[in-house]
Amino acid sequence: MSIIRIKFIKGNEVKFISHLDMMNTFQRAIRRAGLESEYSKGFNPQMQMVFGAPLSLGFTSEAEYADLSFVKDYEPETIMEKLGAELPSGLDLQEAAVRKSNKNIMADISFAEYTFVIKGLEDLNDVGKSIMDCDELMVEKTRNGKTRKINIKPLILEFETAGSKGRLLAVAGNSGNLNPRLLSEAMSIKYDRNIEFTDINRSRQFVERNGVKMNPLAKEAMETK
Amino acid sequence: MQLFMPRCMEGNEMSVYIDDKILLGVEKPARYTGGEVNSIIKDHETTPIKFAFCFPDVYEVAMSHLGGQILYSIINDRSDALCERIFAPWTDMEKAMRDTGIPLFSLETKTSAREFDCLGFTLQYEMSYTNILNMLDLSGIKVRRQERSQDDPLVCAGGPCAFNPEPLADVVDFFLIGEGEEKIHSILDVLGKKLGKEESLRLLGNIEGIYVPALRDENRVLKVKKVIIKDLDTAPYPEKPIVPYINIVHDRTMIEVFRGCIRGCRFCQAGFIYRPVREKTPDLLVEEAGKKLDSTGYDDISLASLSTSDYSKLGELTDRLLELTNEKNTGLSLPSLRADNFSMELMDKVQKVRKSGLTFAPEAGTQRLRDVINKNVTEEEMLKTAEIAFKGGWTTMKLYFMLGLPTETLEDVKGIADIAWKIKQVYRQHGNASKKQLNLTVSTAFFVPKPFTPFQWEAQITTEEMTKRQQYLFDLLKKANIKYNWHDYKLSHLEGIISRGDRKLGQAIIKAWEKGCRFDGWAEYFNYTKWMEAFDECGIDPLEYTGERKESEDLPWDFIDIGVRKKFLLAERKSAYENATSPNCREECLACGAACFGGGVCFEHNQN
Ligand code: SF4
Repeated sequence: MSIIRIKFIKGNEVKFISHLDMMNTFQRAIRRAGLESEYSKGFNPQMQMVFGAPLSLGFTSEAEYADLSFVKDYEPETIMEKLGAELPSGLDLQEAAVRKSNKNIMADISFAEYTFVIKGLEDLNDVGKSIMDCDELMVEKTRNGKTRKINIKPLILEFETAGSKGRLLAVAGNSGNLNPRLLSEAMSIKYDRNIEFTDINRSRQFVERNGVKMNPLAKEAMETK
Repeated sequence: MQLFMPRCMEGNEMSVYIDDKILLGVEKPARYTGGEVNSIIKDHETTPIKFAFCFPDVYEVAMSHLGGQILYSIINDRSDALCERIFAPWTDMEKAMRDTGIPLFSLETKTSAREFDCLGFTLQYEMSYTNILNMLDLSGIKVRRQERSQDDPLVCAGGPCAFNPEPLADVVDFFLIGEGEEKIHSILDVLGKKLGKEESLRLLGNIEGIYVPALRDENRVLKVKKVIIKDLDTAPYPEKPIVPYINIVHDRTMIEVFRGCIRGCRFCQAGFIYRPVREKTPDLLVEEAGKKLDSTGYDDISLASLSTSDYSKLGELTDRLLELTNEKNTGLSLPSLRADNFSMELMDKVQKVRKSGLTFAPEAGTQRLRDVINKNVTEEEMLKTAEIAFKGGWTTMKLYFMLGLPTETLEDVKGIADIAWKIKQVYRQHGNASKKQLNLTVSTAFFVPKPFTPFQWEAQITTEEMTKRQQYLFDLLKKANIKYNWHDYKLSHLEGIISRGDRKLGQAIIKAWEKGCRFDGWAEYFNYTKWMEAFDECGIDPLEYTGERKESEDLPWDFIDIGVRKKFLLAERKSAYENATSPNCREECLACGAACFGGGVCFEHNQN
């Protein structure tokens, strides 16, 4: 039995495939590859796999992660080769390694970095700094039909702009999550104009060990809790 | 009339660009992005023959269609041809396309529909006709063939509804009557010659099974004989079907075990137009299943045929498929089984744990009426099967019936409620009633007289009668506390008008589309009032089309030869009125005429 953590790219071709459909896509690819997956017990056996935080429809990513459970002790290279060959274009396997820690990727991810193009900033200067310096950044969030005001500032770790390009490092995962679109809404309110992010790409994700951010496939991350 | 002028393509640019913003604004954008596993992208520059397989419905429906996948793989297997898919955009996407001037495009390379040599539509149901017009319009192609130019692609159509082509004869350049696999190569060869439209159509008209309306315009007497694949074992099947990203109607590996149906239910068009029944051998089917599972990664196989129980080697096939599915950790589903003991045993073998719903389609409520329609199932058989099923732990059952069948009386309608009630009693006696209630549903559809059936001369009951009978049944079932699903009678009425339509009726279809009708098969978009206005404005009396036809009359589809003789259909009609059933093809051959194709069930006895 082995649990293999993979890192993959979700490219332009598949950015409109939902999280659920992408999971289905991986399941079918694993079957085609002839890899022996672990199944849940019971009525309706499900392939055992855990994906990191879902990516919004329309976003690309250079850093998606999943933990795949197999009945056999596969070498990461086998997974790279066999699964890699069966994934549709747009989904590109980057790395694979055996996970020994018992914390799955979903529970493990703590931070995510995004890059994007910002529209509507033209005549504003030092936007990055002024966002980082403000005490609170309020925005309305609607969930289950209820709208409430929330302050997203504590979720922002880094934000910078260069020309029309932007970069955001934010809290992600179970302890809170910031969708870059929410930031653009908050900025629209703050600057009283329509600010939009396009070409949003998740560029990196991190787990945390003893207060240190690290690559989810780093040896230290894969072996300790 | 042309409603839509797509934005001009710049220079040689044939690919359509769709902004992310548009895709983010529509439901399920993956309907439009393509790139699925096993989809095929070829170079337009170096591939001379460009064919688009067009399905006039939304992606999820289109991708569940087996025939489309077959055609796709046959064409793409040729080095000189390419086939891409074009489906009807859902209304939200259509609006975005019209607002921004995006023409209809293919999923594979986002090539504008107009750039293809031929657009091949499949006609699965009449309610998709307005979608065809809409798709042509979205492509910047005029809907009437007479108004189109040399540069426009040829528009062709096939599928079951093509057996009565006249309602669309002013829209479609040529029809393929019968099974597409048989003649697709001849069609592609003509397209490959790159001749002018007229010349191409003349050549196409010489191919067996092809009907070119323009040639009929010239008043030439035409007889078009359907084409079929004589030996299904030699027919190509897609070894690598496309695997959609999003959930579709049939999200599984589909295996066609045979074509046609031996039964000859007198209302059923498929039972006649696909004659004779032709089977594939178990060896081939098991091989096909294995290849398809390996190439798709699906976790379920389903047998797709009209009445799976009639496969002559069903026991052997399911045993071998079960071996395969156990080995590969996948499931097997068997839809459209008959309500008999053997089928129940099979279901038990296949679904060891999950007892999903059981479906019976007695179609009529009394034995007399079942004899009229030649549905050879008795009440006793049904109750016996229900007993076995309930003892075996089944708790859900669906019953399908038709209302308005020829000679039907309220007595027959009451029979529907009676059967349902008796099944309830069987559950009370033999089922697990103390633990779980029986989940029983009765569904009814209205009878629609179809061309090439023994009932092609019958009247469809009026809308007043429809509501009356439906209400009567509703009250009875309500009293018995049984769930009831019914069809919209307006939709059945419209289907009744179009299915036996002629060329004149085609004008009303175009009119209805101009008034905004599309997705007529979808309750949320079906607009009965607009359709009735369209008939009115075209001077068409719907009752003329739904009424009884004289046996001496020339019917609009008489020039199509399906092998089965009109004389046979008449004899079957006569038997119906005598409450007399007919044997199925395996019990006794009634020499319907389909033996002229030289294969299938008609020759099974000679082989043994
Ligand atoms: S010729 Fe006989 S066996 Fe063949 S389809 Fe007709 S009735 Fe059936």
